[in-house]
Amino acid sequence: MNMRTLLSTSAAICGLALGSTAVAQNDGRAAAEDGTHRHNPNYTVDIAWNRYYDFEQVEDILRRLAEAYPEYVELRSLGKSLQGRDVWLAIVNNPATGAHTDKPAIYIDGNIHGNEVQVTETVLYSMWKLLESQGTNKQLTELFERASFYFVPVANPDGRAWWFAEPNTPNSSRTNQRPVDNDRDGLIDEDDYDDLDGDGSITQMWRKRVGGGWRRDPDDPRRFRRVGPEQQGDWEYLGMEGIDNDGDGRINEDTVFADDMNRNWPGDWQPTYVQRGAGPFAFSAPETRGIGRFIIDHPNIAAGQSYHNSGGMILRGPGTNYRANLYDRADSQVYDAIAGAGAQILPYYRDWVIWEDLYNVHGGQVTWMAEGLAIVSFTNELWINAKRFQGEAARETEDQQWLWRDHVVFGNEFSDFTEVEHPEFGTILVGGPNRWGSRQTPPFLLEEEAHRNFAFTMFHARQMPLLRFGRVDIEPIGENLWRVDVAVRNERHIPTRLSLARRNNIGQQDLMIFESDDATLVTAGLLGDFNDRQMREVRFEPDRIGLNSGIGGMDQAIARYIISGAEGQTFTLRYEAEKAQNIERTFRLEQTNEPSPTPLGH
Amino acid sequence: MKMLTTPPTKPAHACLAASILVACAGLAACTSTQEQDDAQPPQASQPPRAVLTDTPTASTFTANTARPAAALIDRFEIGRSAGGKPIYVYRVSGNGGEADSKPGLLIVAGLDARHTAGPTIARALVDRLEGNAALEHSTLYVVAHANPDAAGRDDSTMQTPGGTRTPEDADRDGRIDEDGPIDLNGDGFVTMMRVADPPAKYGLSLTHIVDPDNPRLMRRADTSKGEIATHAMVTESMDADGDGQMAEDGLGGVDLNHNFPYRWPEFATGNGIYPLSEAESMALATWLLGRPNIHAAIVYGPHDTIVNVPEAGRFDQTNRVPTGIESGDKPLMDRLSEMYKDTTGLSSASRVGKDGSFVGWSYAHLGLVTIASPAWQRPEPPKEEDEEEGNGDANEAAGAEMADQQDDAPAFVMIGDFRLELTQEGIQAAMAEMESLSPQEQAARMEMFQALPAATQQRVMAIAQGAPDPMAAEAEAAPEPARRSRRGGSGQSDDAKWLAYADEVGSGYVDWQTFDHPQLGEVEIGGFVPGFKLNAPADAIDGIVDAQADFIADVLGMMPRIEVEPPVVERVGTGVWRISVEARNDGEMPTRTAMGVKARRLVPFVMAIDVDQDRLLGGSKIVRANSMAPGGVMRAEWLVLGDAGSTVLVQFRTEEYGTTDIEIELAQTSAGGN
Repeated sequence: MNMRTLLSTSAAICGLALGSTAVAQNDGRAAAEDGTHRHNPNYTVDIAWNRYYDFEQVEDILRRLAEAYPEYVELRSLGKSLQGRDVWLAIVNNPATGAHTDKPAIYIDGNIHGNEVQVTETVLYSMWKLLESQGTNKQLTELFERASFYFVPVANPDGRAWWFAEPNTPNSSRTNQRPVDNDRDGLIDEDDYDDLDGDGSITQMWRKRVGGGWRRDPDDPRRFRRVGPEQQGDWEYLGMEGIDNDGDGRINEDTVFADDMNRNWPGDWQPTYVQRGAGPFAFSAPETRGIGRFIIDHPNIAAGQSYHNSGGMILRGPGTNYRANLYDRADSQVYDAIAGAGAQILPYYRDWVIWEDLYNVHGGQVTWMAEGLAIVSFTNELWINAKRFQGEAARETEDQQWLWRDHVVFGNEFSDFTEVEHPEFGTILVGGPNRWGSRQTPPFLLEEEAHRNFAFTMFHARQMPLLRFGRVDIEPIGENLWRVDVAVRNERHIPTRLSLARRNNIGQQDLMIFESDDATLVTAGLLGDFNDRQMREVRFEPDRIGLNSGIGGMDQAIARYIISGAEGQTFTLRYEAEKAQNIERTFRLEQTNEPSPTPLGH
Repeated sequence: MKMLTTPPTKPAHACLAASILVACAGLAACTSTQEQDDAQPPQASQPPRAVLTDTPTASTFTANTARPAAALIDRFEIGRSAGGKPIYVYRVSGNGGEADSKPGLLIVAGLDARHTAGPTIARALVDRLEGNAALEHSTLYVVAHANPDAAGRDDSTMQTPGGTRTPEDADRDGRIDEDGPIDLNGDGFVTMMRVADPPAKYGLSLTHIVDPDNPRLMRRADTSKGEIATHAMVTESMDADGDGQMAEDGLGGVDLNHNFPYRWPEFATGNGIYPLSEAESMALATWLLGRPNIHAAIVYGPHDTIVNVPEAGRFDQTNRVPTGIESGDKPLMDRLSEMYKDTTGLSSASRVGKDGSFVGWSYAHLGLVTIASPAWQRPEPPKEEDEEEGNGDANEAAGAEMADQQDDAPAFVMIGDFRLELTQEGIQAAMAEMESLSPQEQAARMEMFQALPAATQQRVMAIAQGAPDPMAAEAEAAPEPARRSRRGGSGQSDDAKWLAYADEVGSGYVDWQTFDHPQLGEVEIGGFVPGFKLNAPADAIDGIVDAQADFIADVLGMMPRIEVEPPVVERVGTGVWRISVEARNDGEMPTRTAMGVKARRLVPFVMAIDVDQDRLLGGSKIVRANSMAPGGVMRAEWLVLGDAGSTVLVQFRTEEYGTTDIEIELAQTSAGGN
């Protein structure tokens, strides 16, 4: 791409949008050209990253970014949720360096679980940071030249809207809003939680009763403790806030819990009697179907990330032990390298395999992307309580927990106990940790968490295949007869085709195409290295060599062409790969010994 | 005491509605004498039963749409094929009752277009079963052409799966559907090419010999008998795209029998990019999911679940999804199997893998009683003189050509974390890799190999030695005759029997003819016509329809039939009443299969009493029944506080058949107080 064009465009936008001074524009250009960071930029779009946004506000941010960067951002709806909200996709690409479909792409989404809200801010931050870095940060500008980015900030719009609009626990509701009869009584969603104390959260209910098994700490009555052996206790725990709405004698037994859309994907999808929340069939939800069709229709997606909370993990497949054979050594090494860096970039995050370290998942999203479509994919679980005090212990002490609640977040994560008259239980206490209290990143740490996850996905994106022609040897071997050995290198860690793609017939194989107006191709073949004397001849269509294994990470493919033609005649080689930008070069038939531009690895 | 259906303004066009009205009238008569809660026991009249087949839809069950039964045969469009053709369901209903609230039997045919007889049979059954007495209590649904795009095309010339026409780059070379089978010699069929001397560059292996017992047939060389293969076998085709392969990327197509969510075969071509990716499978699935009253399915196609009942109690790697049937469904399936064999005379069927099939899905995910059959088998050849009576001259089954290796012969085994591809090349590569391992590693791997099942070890050894893959060969060639010995007494191979049959009917086999192939040189083209082994000849169809109609009428007569007994009210003390409500299944099938109970797709039957919690002295407000066996009873009992003469409402809710409101007056009933 033309760096100068980009910079002047960017500067023009800055000037237009913010009326920045000429000095600021000059700073930006100088900073980008010498590769240093600009730490005090004038942002084109000012967005606070220490706060949360509901669904409409998310849509507003998307619109603002699209309006500020019309040449880079295309907003597209992948479909409507059950309640009619758009599943927004932002295609972020620099068209000056190619159509987004012609470049390797990273797909990033979040909030498929409605209650896991901070991931949306993380996706929006990533989009914003990438855009704001164009022309001001060399590395991100270069990445933007050769890759495209697909962002879906809210995969479950109804779930996000519900979480912000309704009283909820930290865990309600991860699902979509399809009507489901959870208690199997023939009535639907008839007994959800009830916010009895009106604090906007669903917290705990306690009742004074001798023999209840709990007592209150005399020094801090907010702390309920289980009593020891032979003690009765004088408080009982009644569950989460709610009444018996349908009069069946049970409380909160038919909430809006419905389909867990992260169990609704086609890879190893299993019915609900195997996998709770799976839905009636894979892609039964319009949200997953819309997203899934987009991913299927974009085989240029080479990297995937789906953000969740919580627990501080970088998760990868397989989701079950019986799919472990899908990851062979070569592919596992790619995952190890990327997640290994991620575990450093993201302090307290652990590099885990879903079934081995967490639990079995059937029909999960990233396992489908990874195994069904051969896209290197991760799920990051944001926020871990260890980040509160940032010590070595994974879990804070009880006193630290209260120090945090009272003096770091100033009570924002805890609802004090209040007396409520309950229709079934009489006088009770309602209160406890509120919905912000365990899974969501505290706002003052949100930007940090968003940025580090952004950094990890950019590292991941950077590893998408980058093709270059390598060493070229052209030797005359007879009258008008030439032997041409050409290497094509993949200078990044992700192979153009994972081993899994080859083994399971996923995607199109790579192609190396020979074209010439005057020279004639006699035959062609593949070499293991430049000393290989045993060319594997391609017996059919030597002008169109299929490479089902693609080119591995930090590896190369070497083709040998035997060409008949006069000195000075030309031919063109083109390497085509679904998950890389194609490369093409024209060569002359003349003695050539062109070494690799740099050793692989740098 | 009143028993009401909602809404009460529903037109009483149906005799069953009338029977409910009679029941109400009877009850009213019974209760009219009991005005005080301490009244004498009423006269012992026996009111008629209310039959729960005409219940309108409760608002919570969105699936049932209230619609009066008008014509006896209705046709609805349930979706469109990829080619824009309508997919129809015929609904054959009887007098009385709401058709979509009666137990339904669904017939599906044409999913696999190679089974051309299926749609013909299914469509004929619509007319044949119209007016059948069993339809008073049940409804028949027929999707005769589940794959209408394929139905219109002539598949006899194309040796391709009978799937949809979704384009697919089967060989992953960036060109779509560019090199499929071709009728090279113009005889109207795509058959096989036998090649005695293939050019080396095509890399074809010699695998077959001319059958010495029957020189018109080819069979695999048996190396254990010292036979040396003489021919390569290739589908009638040429290398149209010049990549050295033949017929490797034909006219696309997704096999709808591999596109359903049951154990969807994810990593093979031709199964769709995801389950229900095809317009046809999605239309059928979503329509069926919205028809909870459909209790059973009969599927005409390559699969069989009725001549040979699938094995009970075996599960896949999830340990939950059955590969056959649940043990609890075996008695019903065994009975249906006996009925089917008696009625149709069918005695054998081939084993075709059910992964991804509608058959597998409708049973193991939806819990339907699922009956699958090709509805035809090759007629038995006349017995030979020297053959012993009853010595299992088993008629080997139709559909053998479609046997699916996928279930029976996995393509690899795991030895520890090492994946061993079960091809000769794969095993050779593994042996080469073994040599590079340390002695300890070699020993460890050998140990793991020896820990594999003996059959697997033998299979690996056989493949390594270039012998035909024993499991693949078996899956390909071995139909399972029902309750008979596997080997026929005649000593004839199955192909020989098919050939004899082809000669008898005068079609279905093309004799080998030489052909000058542009790439392979001289070849011979011939063999069985695609679809021949699967389909009944035209003159057999009427007889098949007769037999199937008899069987289906019997199955319809067995459907669950729910009857709600009049509620019994017992005065326990002043203002204290014991109420009991009973429903009974008078059908010959359980209301839910064991699979259906496990699958939890439908909520249980529910009896719910609408009284305040503090007036309910005993019993649970919600009483559930997962399934009612034939003759089985669901009973709910409550102890209620209330004034004599006041009423309480009990709802009997079924997702299949709708909701009945039962208004109960607190007054001693005749049967109470015993």
